[in-house]
Amino acid sequence: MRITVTTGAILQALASGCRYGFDLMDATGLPSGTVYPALRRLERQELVRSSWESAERALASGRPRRRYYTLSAEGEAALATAIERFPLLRGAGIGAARPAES
Amino acid sequence: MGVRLRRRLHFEEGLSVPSRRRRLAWCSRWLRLLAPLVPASRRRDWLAEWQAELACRVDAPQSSHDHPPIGWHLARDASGALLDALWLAYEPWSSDPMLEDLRHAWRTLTRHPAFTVGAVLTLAIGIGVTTAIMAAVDVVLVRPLPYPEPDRLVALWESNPEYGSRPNNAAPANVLDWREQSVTLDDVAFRRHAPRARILDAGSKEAVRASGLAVSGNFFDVLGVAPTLGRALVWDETWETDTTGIVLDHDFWQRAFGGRTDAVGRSIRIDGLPGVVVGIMPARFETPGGKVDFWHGLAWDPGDRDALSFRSWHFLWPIARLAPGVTLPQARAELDVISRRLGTAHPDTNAHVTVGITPLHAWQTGDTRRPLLVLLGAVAIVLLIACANVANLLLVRAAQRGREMTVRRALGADRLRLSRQLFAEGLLLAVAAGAVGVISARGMVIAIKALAPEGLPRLADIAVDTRVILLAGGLALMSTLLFALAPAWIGARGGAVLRTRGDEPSSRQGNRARSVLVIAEVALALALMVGLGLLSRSLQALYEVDLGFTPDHVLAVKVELPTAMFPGSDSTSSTARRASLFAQLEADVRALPGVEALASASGLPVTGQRWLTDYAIAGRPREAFGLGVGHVNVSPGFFRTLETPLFQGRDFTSADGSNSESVIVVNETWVREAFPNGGSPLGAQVMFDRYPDAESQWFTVVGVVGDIRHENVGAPPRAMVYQSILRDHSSYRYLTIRTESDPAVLVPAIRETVQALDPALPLMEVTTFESLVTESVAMERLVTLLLAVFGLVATLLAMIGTYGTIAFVTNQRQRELAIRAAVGASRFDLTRLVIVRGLRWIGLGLLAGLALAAIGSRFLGSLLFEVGAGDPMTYAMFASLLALAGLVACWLPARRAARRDPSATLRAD
Repeated sequence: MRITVTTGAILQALASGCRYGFDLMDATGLPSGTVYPALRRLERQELVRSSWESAERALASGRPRRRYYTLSAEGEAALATAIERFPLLRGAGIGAARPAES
Repeated sequence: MGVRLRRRLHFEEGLSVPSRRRRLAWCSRWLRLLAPLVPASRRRDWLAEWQAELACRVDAPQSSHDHPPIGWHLARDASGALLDALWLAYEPWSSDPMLEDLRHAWRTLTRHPAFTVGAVLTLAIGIGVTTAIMAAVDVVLVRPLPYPEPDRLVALWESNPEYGSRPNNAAPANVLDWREQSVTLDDVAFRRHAPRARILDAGSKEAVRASGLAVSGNFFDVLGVAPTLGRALVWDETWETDTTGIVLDHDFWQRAFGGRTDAVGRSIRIDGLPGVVVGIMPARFETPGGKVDFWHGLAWDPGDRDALSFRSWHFLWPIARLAPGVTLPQARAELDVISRRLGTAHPDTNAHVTVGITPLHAWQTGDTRRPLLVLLGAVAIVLLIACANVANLLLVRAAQRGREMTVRRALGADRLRLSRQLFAEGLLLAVAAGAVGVISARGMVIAIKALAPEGLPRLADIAVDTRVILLAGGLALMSTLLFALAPAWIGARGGAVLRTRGDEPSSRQGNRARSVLVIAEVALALALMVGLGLLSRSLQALYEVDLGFTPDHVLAVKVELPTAMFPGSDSTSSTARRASLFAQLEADVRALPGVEALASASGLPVTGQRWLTDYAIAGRPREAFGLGVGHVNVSPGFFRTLETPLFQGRDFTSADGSNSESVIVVNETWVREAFPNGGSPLGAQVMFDRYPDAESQWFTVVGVVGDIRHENVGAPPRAMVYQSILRDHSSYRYLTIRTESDPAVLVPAIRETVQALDPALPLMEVTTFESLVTESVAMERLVTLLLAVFGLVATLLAMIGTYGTIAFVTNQRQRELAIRAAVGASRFDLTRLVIVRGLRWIGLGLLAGLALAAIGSRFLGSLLFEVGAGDPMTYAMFASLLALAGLVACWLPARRAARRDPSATLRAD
């Protein structure tokens, strides 16, 4: 399996609390055309799982339901490998500077 | 609300409701546009996710310090949906090995941009020129005629073995007999051989000049095309009617009548005679033989049906539709019977006349077939050379990648897999080259259209359309097979590389393949260059032909006096008025400053404007006819104006008018034909009626002039007879004006003079004699010009290929050369060593090329003028030119190799 800096950054962003595609874009600075195909691939490789957020929560926030991505156990492992390969990922400040919405 | 990494907020501000709604609507339109790309099973989720994310983005707080503004961010973020959709569309295929190969090939190619660009451009040149010429061939030669059931349409022609059996126009009475007697032909229609300029007056606006073609009433029925508005002509309109029915061409209708439907039924005067518009033909409709503005019936006098002239004047161009199920030979057999019957019934006129039948398509494309096929051959050569070059590039790279291949084979990739990958690289190159090629083909088509001679059939239809693009795609694919498979085959023999030394990037097969490619390239380039050489020598010969006149600084102006101005064309008064008007006009133009000399004639040289008769000489037996002498009427001073020499006797004078003795001036060829045993022709009495009647008269030869080429530049001069134009009462004349300086400068002044004489006098067809000559060789010029371009491109490509190969091979021998240098070989020795090898290839290539050229140039055949297809000069010249270029291509790498420091090479090893 190939882990690039891009994939590493996305995994790192997910680990630090980003949940949605566009959050990942903001967190990593990558364009949507990179983030989404990467998410699709990660999901196919089962490093990432996705689910729809609940209708009640969306309603409460006054917006449509968003798709919600989380790291799987394999994803955690892959992230560890990625950080080993690209140690700068850890200190790059990637991640949600705010707590995940609750 | 926290602080985002990429977007620090200073203060917040919501979007106004309308702009929010507008943005949301825009997003959802964009997403719905892309949704069909996404596989159906995932489409709903995909749409929902993107809609939600973009909606959140729209609602995201906007900072006034944000720059660029949110709209831009939104567009950027939304654009990713395209890539996402593409990814999802492609995902089910992504594990396909072919795509795997393509991906790998893409990476390999983008990593070597110089190689990729070079290969793509080389191929694109080949594909581009081939596509452009194919577009022309497709429209002109391949596509059926744009009429229903075109296979049943045939052209009919007469020929007379007495005149050398060339297809000729037909006589009206004969055509009418064919039509009445034939059962294998559904119907026979006919038209005058050429359109005529007419003056149309619709009453409301100014009169317009238009070209009208006189046709039989059933002409459109035989073609099978009905007018979009109104009716076509009917058979009875072949004969005289009270008002002439006119059918308008679509473009002319748009131009002159603004496309108004009430144009149908409008009364119109053609040359002053009453007519009425009865129909409008569909857009893009063209009668065989070219575009005209309108059609009208021949309007013959029924009394002429049995006149002698109806059988002896051959001026019709008949077409016919075969009856269903009838074959060409059946129709031909029947027409033979009919024409023999006519020969018996009318021995005076028809004894020797035979009838011919040719499919209309072949008849129309006859003259252009060979030039186009020659060009097609030429571009095929360019394409082959381009393929050879790219194959060479791939070979070189395959050799350089020998190690990669070895490793990959050692790791278990089978030969098929490696071949497939090389093939994928070729395919990508070909696709890119095809795209660039199609674009350049469009440019070439525009250039060809601009350069093509007028009258090239269906010229306007030539375009790079879907059909041609598909052809180009096929070409790209075919060339891929050609250039990619050879290296794939060699490259895939990784085992051989493994057995030799690990680093040695060559194999014997590789070098053999390379040498074959170089030999082939040189051979093809030489063949093309020889063809070009032959054609350009032939063109040169055409330009150097003794035309019998000096074309520079001569202007030709056709002046036509509308019949309307001179009613009763046969009356003496109108004849006199016309004559005096022409005389006045000539005097006025002659008086213009800058006019050196002026004369007039009924037809211009190199245009075929003359008519033919037979002739008899007084005092010889009646059977001793001379056949086919050309006639042109000229004014006094015509020969002086054209600088044609007068060898014997005198020119016409103003005294040679209607009331004086009938005199003629003849040309040298006629003298040679009529007086083969010598003797002075002056004073000889000549008659031009083969079947003399009461009105036949004898003409006296008063002068002999040099030969003028009347047919075209390439045709040898024929026997000509000139009569005085002062006895000619026709309504048009060509003024020929020799000017002191640039003839074009005089045109406005001449126009003014004509207008001043009579504002209603239209001035028609102004041209220079030089452009008449150029137009006469336009096809030869076009073919030669295109071949010159193709030939140079081919040679350049071949030389680049040779250079590249020699450089590569020399590089391989670097070690050997270094050792030779170390043991005392001089620089000269080393250079010679490299060059000799290269020259051996080039020599073989030249030999093969000479053979190829000898075979290929036979196809040029009739395109060549006064140059033999085996002209040794041309062969020798281009072979040595290519040899010289080849020498340079070998010498450059040889010099570099010899200059390299041998110790450095050996140390590096």
